[in-house]
Amino acid sequence: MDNHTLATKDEQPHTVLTSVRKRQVSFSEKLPFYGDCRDVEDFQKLNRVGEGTYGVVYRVKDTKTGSVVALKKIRMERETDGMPISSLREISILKRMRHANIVNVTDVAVGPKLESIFLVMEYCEQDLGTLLDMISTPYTASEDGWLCFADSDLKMSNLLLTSTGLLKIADFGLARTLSLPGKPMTPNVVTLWYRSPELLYGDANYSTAVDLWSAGCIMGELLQHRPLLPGTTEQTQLNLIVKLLGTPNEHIWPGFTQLPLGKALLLPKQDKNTLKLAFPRISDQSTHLLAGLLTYNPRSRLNVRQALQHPYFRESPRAQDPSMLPTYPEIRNIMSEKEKVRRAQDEERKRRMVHVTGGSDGDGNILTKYKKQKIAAAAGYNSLV
Amino acid sequence: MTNMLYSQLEKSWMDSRVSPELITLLTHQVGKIVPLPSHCSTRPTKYNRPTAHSNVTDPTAIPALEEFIDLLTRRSRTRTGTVLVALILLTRLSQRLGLVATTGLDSAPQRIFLASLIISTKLIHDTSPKNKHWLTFANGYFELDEINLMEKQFLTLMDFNLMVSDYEFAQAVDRYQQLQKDRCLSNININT
Repeated sequence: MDNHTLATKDEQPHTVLTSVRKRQVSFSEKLPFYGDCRDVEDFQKLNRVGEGTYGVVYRVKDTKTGSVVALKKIRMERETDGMPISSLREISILKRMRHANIVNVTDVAVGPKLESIFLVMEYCEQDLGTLLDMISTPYTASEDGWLCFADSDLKMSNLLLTSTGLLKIADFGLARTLSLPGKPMTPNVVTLWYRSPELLYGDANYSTAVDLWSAGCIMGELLQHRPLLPGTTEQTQLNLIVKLLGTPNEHIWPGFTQLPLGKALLLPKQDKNTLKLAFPRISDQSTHLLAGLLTYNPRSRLNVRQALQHPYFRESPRAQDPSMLPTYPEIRNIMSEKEKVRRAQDEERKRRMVHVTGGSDGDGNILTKYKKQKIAAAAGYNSLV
Repeated sequence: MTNMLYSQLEKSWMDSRVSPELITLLTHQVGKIVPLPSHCSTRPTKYNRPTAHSNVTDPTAIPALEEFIDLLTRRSRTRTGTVLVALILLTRLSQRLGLVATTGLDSAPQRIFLASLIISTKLIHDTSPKNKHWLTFANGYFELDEINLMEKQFLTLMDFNLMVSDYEFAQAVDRYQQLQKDRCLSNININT
């Protein structure tokens, strides 16, 4: 019996599936099994470029083709969970999509270790987050040509620019295909700053309207050159929203008090919508579009079609052709060395904080969870094959 | 995922327990990837469900595929809708691979099915069992690293092509309902 279990553990899974492939591979740890995926050894690491919600991203050279691509490591949260649901969905959705404004995934690369699974993606030179941090002149309205999509995690660092000025959306870590109306979905999505009021209130029947809210936040950030609503907790996030847009009521957003967290969150009093004050120098059309996106009631919020047809996109200055946009040096890579040191210190600080605040995991302490993810991602940095 | 169909079909139907016909269908589909031991396909579909203690005699012996599917779906409370997605993935895998003459090891069919079920569940449910839970659903026949590995291997064999279209889902539903009708008719013939 001992012999049997041993054999099961060491050989069986490999032998089974390699035989299925009819490949003459006698299995050992040195000769792992890659199915139809690429071997991660084909990629030569150049440097680390950043972190997605669910994984670290590296700039690498594909030794088979010579091209420079991005490699995103899938994070295995815990060994006991197996493949994370988010990664499973992200990969399958991205593999299906081809679009000029999406960071397209060309392959999946795997390595010998269980957790060595990587997305091979187009490499984009800039992310808007870094760029805005480094470049002092805000983008003019015409450069802010943008689009909308059914993602669940739109934010600055997920918007990438190629060297030719083409905007691309990355990180579909929380993207999902929509199922039938009425089937509840988890409301714990979207980075807090870009999270819509209905998600804050725990609505499990949200729609693509959540992305339009995120788009509004991004537009505001581009115009203002700093995060529009940088809350630190769900409550402070709501406070910031109310400060900008005024207190919602049953008239403008019917039914919101009945949402799961309708009673749990405190609703500050603030009579006026201060959007116009926050953006004193933008055109009326810009204000109108921004207000349309930053609308409390998801049903009356602008939808993708309405947003794209908005007169804002037709007023002068017209959106510039991508080739006309200024290009910038690859700040991220220059920064990455300095960044490494700073990050290490940063993570150490966060680690201590989590240690203090941790414990209440599981019931939606999103901030803590997010910090944990960051730390785990940083820890994963050195383990790229 | 398949918005049209999910809304057309009765939710109760999607959430119904996995039927013997569906198990037959799944067994058949796995058999198109790796050959099943002959006793498995000739088994009558109405077998005695194993009791909790029926396997104590040899803890390492894995039940025949049909029995294993039954056990696994009951213990994990997997419903018809999810299993139909597993059926689609299995069909896709057999199309990618074709039938493989070599048998591999005895539990290959069970492993392939378990991997397909784990992945389908993760694809369509926001909260789904973790791999450590499948450990107990599968009655401890496999270790955690084996389960993790079969999952990864299934994914790499599929090259992560996991999206299921409305059309594919409709086909799977048709296939299943057709089999149910046939079964029903043959039962009537026997009885009259």
